[in-house]
Amino acid sequence: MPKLLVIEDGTEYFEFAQAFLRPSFTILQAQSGRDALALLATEEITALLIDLRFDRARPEQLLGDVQQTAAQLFCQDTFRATRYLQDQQGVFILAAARSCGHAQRAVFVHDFPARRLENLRKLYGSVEAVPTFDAPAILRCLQSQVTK
Amino acid sequence: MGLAPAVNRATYKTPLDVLLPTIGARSVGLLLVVLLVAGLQLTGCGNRLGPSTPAGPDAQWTRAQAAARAPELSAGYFEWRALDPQSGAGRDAQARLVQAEEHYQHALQLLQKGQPGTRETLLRGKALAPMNPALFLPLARALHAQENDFLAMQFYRSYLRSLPDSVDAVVAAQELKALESELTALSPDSMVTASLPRTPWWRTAAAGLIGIALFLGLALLLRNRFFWQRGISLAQVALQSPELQPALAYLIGTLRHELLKHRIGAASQLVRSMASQKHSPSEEQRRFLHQRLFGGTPLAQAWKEHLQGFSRALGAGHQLVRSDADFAAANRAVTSLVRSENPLLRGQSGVLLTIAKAEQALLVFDERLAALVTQLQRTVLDAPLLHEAIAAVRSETAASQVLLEELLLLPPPERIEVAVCQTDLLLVIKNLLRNAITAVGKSPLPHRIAIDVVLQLLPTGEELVRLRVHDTAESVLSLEQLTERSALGQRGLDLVRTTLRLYGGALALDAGLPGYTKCVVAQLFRVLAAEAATSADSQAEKNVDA
Repeated sequence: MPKLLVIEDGTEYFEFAQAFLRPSFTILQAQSGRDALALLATEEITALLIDLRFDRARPEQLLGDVQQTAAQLFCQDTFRATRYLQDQQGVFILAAARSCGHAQRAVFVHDFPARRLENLRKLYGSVEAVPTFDAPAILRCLQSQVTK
Repeated sequence: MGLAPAVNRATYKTPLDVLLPTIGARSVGLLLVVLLVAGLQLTGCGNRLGPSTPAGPDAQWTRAQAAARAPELSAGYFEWRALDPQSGAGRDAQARLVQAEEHYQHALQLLQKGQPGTRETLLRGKALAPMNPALFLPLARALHAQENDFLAMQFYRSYLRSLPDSVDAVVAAQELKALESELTALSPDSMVTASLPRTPWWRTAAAGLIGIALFLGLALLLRNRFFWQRGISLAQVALQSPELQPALAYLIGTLRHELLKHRIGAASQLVRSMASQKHSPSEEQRRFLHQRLFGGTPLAQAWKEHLQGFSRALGAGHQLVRSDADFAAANRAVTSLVRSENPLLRGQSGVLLTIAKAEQALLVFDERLAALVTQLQRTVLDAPLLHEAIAAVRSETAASQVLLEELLLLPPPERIEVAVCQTDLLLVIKNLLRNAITAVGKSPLPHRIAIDVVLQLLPTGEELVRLRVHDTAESVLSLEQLTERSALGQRGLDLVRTTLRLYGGALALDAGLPGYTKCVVAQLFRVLAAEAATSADSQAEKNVDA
């Protein structure tokens, strides 16, 4: 059975996947970017379901360079940079996964503006977004990857 | 004891006096407890099983569930415990008792710590399974510790009635007796009332509660149905007070993300699909739905906190549920959802449709908020705006005295919108330009300045708008001057930094275009078109290829 890796800082996505996607996938969970990369290295993952915001993650758990982000975007303000990394952590994890050669389809539950989704696809290849926890729509996105 | 202690103890309360503050103060949740205990008093129901009649496990389970529907917290407890744990119903009952016990213990802890949420937690437990009556005793003691002596007595009585032969029964009876005699002796009018025929306390309490409930119901009805037209809507506030727009945008974003996406949106599709299923949803699906909607901070409290955030931003007394039709409708939907919690846990038929209706109303609310956000603080950063800033600065006395060989304006490559009030954006541009002109004026020739706007794609897929002001001044601007509150003479930069920060942006320093010595950059995140992203595969492939 194809394996779906759920990446989030809580358990909501995992519970959702267990309740509604399990018939089609074996569900695995990672609660940090590092855990996700470890699982990607050891398991044959078919697709990724990623939370964008990691509000509950501790700064040391975040992927991304705080100092560099602070210098580039926030006038050296590391507090704002940390918050930014939390708010966008899902994409930073995806970037790290791609840089390690993991090209699986990634699905976000987020209402990205169309232009931003275009940008994400330019940067990271197969990326989908579903605005709400719409189980059939998420399943369609994930399964189209499986059938390819 | 005589009357003297009553004079010394200012905190004395008659039973009704105890009850009323309980309704109004932090332990509002205990109102439920009163009702549940009152239910016991009114019905006189016990919860011990009589000699059980022989019946099949299914019939026993049906009876046990029926018993648990009585209002008292522990109603049906012994019937549930008596079910054969080897049977399917018995296993289910045991599992729910264990699950409910966690809620009851948590409620007890909240009560002991004087924290809010007791009512909701007890409700969650009650919706799952009856409470072990042994918990009446610690609850009674916790209430006594909180000086809710009136309620404490009722819990002591419930405990003794339910478990008269328990090990702690003797101690509980002594504690109850002490409490009763203390309250009786402390009553300032006990000497008078003792000789008068007494109205049972529960009648007084029930009458008071009914009166309060009627009053509150009427007030809510009037407020929600008729009075929301008063005041002005959020959209009007935003229009009339642009200075509030950053705060409103933030509050709307938080409300949409935390409540409308992660709670309501997370459940909406599930509710619809579950409501349309021919067969009943699985226990796992129901539990997930319940957890999404009602887990964590109680829904009513979460909603209230968001409303309070808006009230703080808009000014004390501004109640959006009264002044804004969309918020009023959302408020009704949230109330409807809150009322659906217990029926959902019980698997009551029809509740999914009620939840689906409320969810739909909240999704409409979300769409309206999203539409409102797109109207907030949007400014197009284009050539006319830059020309306006240049003209304004060049008309100033100091800046007009600097002879510039060139002031080059390179317009943005495409239409760019930023989430900044236009007045503030002009303030930023004018300050940067003024600083540049002043600096080149103090430097030897050439005196050249250029302004351009470039876009930078970030790893997050967002786009950074970089408004750059290049100059040929000799003076070097340090990073510290950009990042720290500066001394006299740098107030313009302070203002720019603060303004940009307000809108999520920042100041930066760059090398500048060829032929210029440096450039100061105002960075802001680009507002991307608001239309929802599609997930069509063909679109994805097209973009990837591109």
